[in-house]
Amino acid sequence: MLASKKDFFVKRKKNIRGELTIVSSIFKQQFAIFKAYWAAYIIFILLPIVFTLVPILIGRSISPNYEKNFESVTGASNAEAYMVLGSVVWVLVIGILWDFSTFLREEQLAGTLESLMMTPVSRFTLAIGRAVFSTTINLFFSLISVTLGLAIYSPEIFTSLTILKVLLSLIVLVISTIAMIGLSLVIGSLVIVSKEIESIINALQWIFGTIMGVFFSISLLPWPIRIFSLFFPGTWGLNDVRTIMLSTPPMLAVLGIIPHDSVIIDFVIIIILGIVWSVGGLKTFSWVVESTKKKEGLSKY
Amino acid sequence: MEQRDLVIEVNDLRKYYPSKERKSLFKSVKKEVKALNGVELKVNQGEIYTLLGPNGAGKTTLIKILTTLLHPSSGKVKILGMDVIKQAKDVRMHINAMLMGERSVYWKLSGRQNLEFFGALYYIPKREVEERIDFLIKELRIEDIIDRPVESYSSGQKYKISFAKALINDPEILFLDEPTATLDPRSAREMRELIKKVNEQGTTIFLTTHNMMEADEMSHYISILDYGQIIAEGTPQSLKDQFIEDETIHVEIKIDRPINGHLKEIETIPTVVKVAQHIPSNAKEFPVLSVILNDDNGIIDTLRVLQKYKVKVIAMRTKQPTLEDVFLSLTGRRLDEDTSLKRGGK
Repeated sequence: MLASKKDFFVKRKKNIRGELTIVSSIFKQQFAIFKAYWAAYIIFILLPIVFTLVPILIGRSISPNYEKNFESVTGASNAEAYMVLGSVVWVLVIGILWDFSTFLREEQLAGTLESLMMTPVSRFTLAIGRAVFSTTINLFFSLISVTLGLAIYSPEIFTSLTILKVLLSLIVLVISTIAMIGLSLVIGSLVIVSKEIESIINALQWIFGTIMGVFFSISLLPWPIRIFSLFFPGTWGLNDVRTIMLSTPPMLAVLGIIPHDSVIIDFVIIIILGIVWSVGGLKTFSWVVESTKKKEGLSKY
Repeated sequence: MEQRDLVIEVNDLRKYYPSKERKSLFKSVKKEVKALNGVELKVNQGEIYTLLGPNGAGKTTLIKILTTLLHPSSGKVKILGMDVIKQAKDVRMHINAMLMGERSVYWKLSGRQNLEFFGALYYIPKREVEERIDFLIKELRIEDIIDRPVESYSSGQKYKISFAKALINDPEILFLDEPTATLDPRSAREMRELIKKVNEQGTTIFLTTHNMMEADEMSHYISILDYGQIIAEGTPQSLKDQFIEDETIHVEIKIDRPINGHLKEIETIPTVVKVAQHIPSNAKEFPVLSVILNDDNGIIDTLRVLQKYKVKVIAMRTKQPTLEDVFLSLTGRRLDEDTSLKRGGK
């Protein structure tokens, strides 16, 4: 038999351990839902591989020696690996974008958003829980995809890969994913207000793919778009993974801002972007929730 | 009742929704819908408090403000002595609600996974959650369905698991918004029994309904909400005593077709106090006239009016006064009338 009502309340405490337990519960809950849809994620493995084929074939159609021109522009001696990495990071960005931009709206449509908002858990903990799951699952599929993509298009790259390079790339991706989550939370919060998902995110995924330089160097972008791309975490994440794996120039050198070959400054900028976008995402989310409470509430759709 | 027994206090609560009326492609006029207009109420610990009112009266708006999901436009709301805006998180720790019925849980998860998840969100240690789930499984008799995905449940079972979710933190106050509205009669009866049982175990229940029978059967105290204002309150019996005169006769006449145009003619009969018509949404059911009369001569006069317009009487009965009659005598309308449309929608 359960303890009396009064005793039951005494046992509940809010502390770091409690918050971590909640994060782990959200992870478990998300994983249980994911298991019902796991097959849909296969597309995240296949898409980058298919996407990469198109620019490679276009390149070969234009010139049999397109790799040389490609190297002079990008600094990458391995054009196929350059494009595989671009494609995989792009699909990772799309995955995060869809996960985080749609989760608020999906919960709203399902009717569970009010159940969540009625619990004493902070929005910060809720967002962390979702972020941990989203980052883990999307990175997992990206890893499979990049391994397969490189094995198909550029198997020779495995001879030059080291554990350090892989670990550094993963760290860069995790940090830029956190920044992406913050950005997606901003978009997701605005989706709650505008009540429009598909068209906004569909458009954004192509815009992001263009500004982050999926198949080309961002130095080729017109300067106004280049400035815009600097605020996008995916641009930094992708460029730095290429710098680590393929020894291409770091972002600031690519843009001709600071001529250097150290990736450290880029790391610092990614961390700053991670902090700025995460705080921005949470603030926007809180602002949207509070402003909807002043109007018709979260259940209106 | 002493001050310490108050668990909900609402003072001069107002909620205005902004709305727009589009005049042309580029022009719209801002409007305001008054969902709540100066609501005052007090709920004592351990009671079943019912907010009775037609659709669109403002019941859901009020319950959402009490559960911290909406901010009021003005007024004060205290739950267990805490301010619902300034101390929202503390309030949430001690309350729970079933507002969206079957839609308040994750359908892809099993009942148990839902309860474990929501239990964790209330900072309840894992072992305690397991104990609580075992307790709820027994109390709600959901052993057979608890480990199946919610999407495979019947509607009544989904309500049960939503109800279990609302009890996972053993709340001091449980808010229920139309808890039986879409249930079949058997499931609704079962849900009412469960609510009473939870109340007997010490939980204060705040319930909204437009079902007068439900309110009459379950409530210790009732407030009648209409157009965002509380127009009457008291125990079910005191409401009947207060608003229904002993000598009045209450008649229900089932007719073969609606008589919208001729209601006014019945109202002009001297012995008719009030008359209202219920047109069921199901086209196979017959409309019902509810008539309150001062003496039985009025029955003959009413039937004459119906005969004059060739309206057939399917059945007729006199009945004991109910809360429906209280609402009818107060507003001249039936409880099942949707008032949200008259207010421009919410």
